[in-house]
Amino acid sequence: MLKYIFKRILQAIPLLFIISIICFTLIQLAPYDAVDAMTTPNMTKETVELIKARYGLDRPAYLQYFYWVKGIIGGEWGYSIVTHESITNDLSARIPNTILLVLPAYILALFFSIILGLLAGANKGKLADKIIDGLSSFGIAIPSFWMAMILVFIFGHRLNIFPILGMHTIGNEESFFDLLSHMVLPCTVLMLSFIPELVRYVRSSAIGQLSEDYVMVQQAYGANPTSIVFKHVLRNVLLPIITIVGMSLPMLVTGAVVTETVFGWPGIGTYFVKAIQGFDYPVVMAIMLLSASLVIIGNLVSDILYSIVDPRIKGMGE
Amino acid sequence: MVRKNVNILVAILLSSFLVLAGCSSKSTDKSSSKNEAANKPDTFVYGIDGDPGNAVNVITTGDRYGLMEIKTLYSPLYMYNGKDNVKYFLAESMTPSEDFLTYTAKLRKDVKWHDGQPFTADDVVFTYEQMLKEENGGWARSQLLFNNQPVKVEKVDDYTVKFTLPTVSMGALEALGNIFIMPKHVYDGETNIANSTKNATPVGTGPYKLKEYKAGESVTFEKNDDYFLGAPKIAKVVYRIIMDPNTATMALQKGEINALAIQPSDSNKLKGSNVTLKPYDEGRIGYLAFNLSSKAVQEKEVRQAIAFGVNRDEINTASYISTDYSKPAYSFLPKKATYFTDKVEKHTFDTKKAKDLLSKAGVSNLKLKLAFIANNPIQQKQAAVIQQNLKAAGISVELVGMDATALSKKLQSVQTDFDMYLSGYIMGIDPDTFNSLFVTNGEANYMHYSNPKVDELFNQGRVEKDEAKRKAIYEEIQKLIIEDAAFYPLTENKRILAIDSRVKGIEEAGLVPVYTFEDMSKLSY
Repeated sequence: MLKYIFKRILQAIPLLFIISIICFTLIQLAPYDAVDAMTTPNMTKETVELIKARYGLDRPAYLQYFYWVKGIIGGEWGYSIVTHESITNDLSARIPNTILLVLPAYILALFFSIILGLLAGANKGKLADKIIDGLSSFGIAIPSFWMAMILVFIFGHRLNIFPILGMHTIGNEESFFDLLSHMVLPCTVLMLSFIPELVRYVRSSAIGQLSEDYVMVQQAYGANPTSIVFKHVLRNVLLPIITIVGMSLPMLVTGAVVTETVFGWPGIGTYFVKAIQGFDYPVVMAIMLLSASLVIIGNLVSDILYSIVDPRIKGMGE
Repeated sequence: MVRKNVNILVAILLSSFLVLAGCSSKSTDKSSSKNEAANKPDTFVYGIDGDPGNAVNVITTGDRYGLMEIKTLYSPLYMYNGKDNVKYFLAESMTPSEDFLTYTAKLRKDVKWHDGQPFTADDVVFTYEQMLKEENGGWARSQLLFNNQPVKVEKVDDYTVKFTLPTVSMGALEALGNIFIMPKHVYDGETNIANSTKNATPVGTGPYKLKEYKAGESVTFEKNDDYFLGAPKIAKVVYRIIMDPNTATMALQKGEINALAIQPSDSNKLKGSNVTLKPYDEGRIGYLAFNLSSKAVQEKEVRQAIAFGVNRDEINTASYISTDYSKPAYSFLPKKATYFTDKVEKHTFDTKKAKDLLSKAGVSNLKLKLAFIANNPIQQKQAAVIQQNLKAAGISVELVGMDATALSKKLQSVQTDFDMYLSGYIMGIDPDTFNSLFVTNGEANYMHYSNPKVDELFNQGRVEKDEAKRKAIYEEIQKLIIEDAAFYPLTENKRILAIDSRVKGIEEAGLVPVYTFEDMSKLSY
C-alpha cells in the first residue's frame, strides 16, 4: 500500500514541473510585452531598459523561468505589476476566504446530492426520480449570477434576513455569527450550483449498482429496499464519488468567481478576473499554476484514497 | 479494512454537515439584530467598484480609488480648481514672480505627520524630486517637465519652497499643484517606492489615518485629531469594495453602505428612498473620435458627414436619461475650463447635409467600425444610437465592443482595427493641460491627429502672458479642432453621487473630480 502511494507521489512530481513549464511558456507566448504594464509611451528607451532590468525582464527566458520557479519553491511569488503588491500576501489573504465559502458549500452539496441521487436511482422512472432529475436539469441551466441576484433580492432586500455584502459587518469583524450570516446566501448559491451535476452522477452510479448481483441476492434474502440502498449500494456509489471529489479540488481556488463578484466576497475570483483584465501577468501565472497543480494533486489524492478504500485498484497498478 | 474506512468517511461527512447545519440555523436569528448595529452614525461607508490595493503611494498611484485613498491620507500644497478658485492645504500661498519664471510657496507651520513629526520644506522638496526621477514612474512627471526640462525645486527656509521653471508656462500654477506630499523621514533612501513595504503603513498629513486594509474587501480609516484644518467630525471612514453594481445599489438602499456613485439609469430606483442624489461636475468630456490611421476616414468631408449625421441630443438622452446628468458638449474644453467657448461649428443634426457631403466626397456604401467598451452601459447606448443615425445617412456601422484594457492598449498603438471610437477624459482647468490630446505625437493623442497650426497655437498659448491674447489663441484652437471634424464632443456629463440623506456638510467638504470629496473632514451626521 505505502509503496503504491509513494509511487503515485513520485509520478506527480514531473507532472507538476511540466505544468509549470506550460504556464510559463503560455505567458511568454502571449502577444504583448510584460514591461508595457509598467511603462508609459513617453518614457525614454533607457528608462524602459532600467525597468526591464529591475524586474529581470532583460534576461533570457530560461533564466527567468529558473528564477520564477526558485521563488515559488521559496514561497516568494513575486509582485503584481499593476498594484505592486506582493502576490504571496495577496493570495494568502484571499485563498482562505474562498475556501471558507467553497468548502462548506461543497460538503453540503455532496451530502444532499448523495441522498437525492440515491433516492432518484432507487426509484428510477418513478415520480421522485422525475422530479429530482428534472430539477437537476433545470439547476444546470440556471446561471449562478441570476440565482444569486434572486436570492439577494428576496432574502437580502425584501425579507431583509441576511446581509448581502462581503464577509463582515463594519465594526463587527470579530463576531463569528456575523460571519455566518454573511455566508448563508453565497453558500446557498454555490451549493445550488454544485448539486445538480453531483446528483446526476450519483443517480447514474446508483442505477448501475442496483443491477448488480449482490443487490439481487439481498432482495432474495428479503432485505427491505431502504436498507439495501443505504447499507450496500451507498458504499459502492461512494467509490466513484471519491474521484469526483478529488477532481473538484481546484474549485477551492477558482470555484466561486461569479458568486464572489455578486456578493462582494473578498476571495480569489475577483482578484483573478481583475488580473486578467489588467494584463497582470505574474498574478495570472501564479493562479494558473496554483489551479493546475491542484488538478494534479486532486488526482493524486483521489487515487490514493481510492486505493485505501478499494484494495482492488492497488492490484491493478502493479 | 474497506468497511472501516467507508464508515469513517460517512461519519466525517455527517458530522461536518451537522455542525454546519447547527451553525447556520443559529445565524439566521442573529443576523437581523446585526443589521441595525451596522450603521452607527460614527462611520461613513463609501462603496467603490475597484480595489485600491495595499501599495498606495503618492508617486505611482494613479487610479481613481487609489487617488481617493491618497486624498484621505495625504494633503497637497493646494488644489487648483479654477483661475480664481485655489484651495490651499499645506501651503498658505503660492505666488508667481513678475516674469512668471519662479513660484514661491509659503508653507503652514502647524502641520504634523501622522507619526507626530513636523512637516517642513524638506518633505516638499523630497516629494517633487522623487516625482521627477524617471525610474520611479511618477504619475505627474510629465506635467513637471516644461519644454522637456524639469522644474527646479529648492528649499529657501524651513517653511518656504521656490519652484524655478526653465521656460514660462502659463499653466504652471495648475501643473505644480494637486501633487500630494510624502514624508521624507519615512521614505528617505527608498529606491523602489512602487514596491516599498512602507506603503502598507502610510504616514500622511490628511484628515484620516489608515487603520486597516483588507484585500478585496475594504479600506478602513480613523480620524486624525491633529488634522491642521480641524479634526474630522466622523470618526471612521470605510471604502467598501463591491464589484457588482446591482449588489451595490441594493446595499445602498438597505443602508449597508452610505454613499455610492451610480449610473443615470439607476437614479429612478433610488428616488423617494433615504438617499439623496448629488450630481456633480467632473469636467469630463465624452466624445466620438476618429482613428486617423484608418484609410476610410482620411477625408475631411467624410468626417464632417458623420458629424452632421449623428444626433447629439438623441445620443445624450438615450445614455444619460436626463439633462440633469449631462449637457451637450461642443468644444473639446469643459465649461469650467479657462477660455471655454461654444462659438464653434456645432454640426447640428442634418441627415440630408450628411448625404450631400458624402456624395461630394464621392464616397458611397461607406462601412465603418466603431469601437467602445463592451460592458460600459453608457457607451453601449451611445454606440447603438450612432449606428441608427448613420444608417439613415447611408453609412453602415459595425459595433466593436471591447474590454476596457484591450481598447486602451489598441488606442496607444497605430492600428486600423476600427475607424471610430467612443471615449472620455477628465483633464484640468487650464487649456494647456489638454495639449497632449491634440498636438502631433502627444502622449494621449489616440486619434493620431496632426494639425501644424494647432501645434503652433498650443506652443504660443503656453507662454503668452497677455490675458486677452491668450484667450484669442485658445478660442482659435477650439474652432480649428472642431472644424477638422476628427473629434466630435458628445457630452459633458456629471458623476452622480448617491449619498445617505443624514450626511451633512457636503457643500463644505466640496465635490471635486476624481477624489469625490475635497476635504472629507467636513462631513458629519
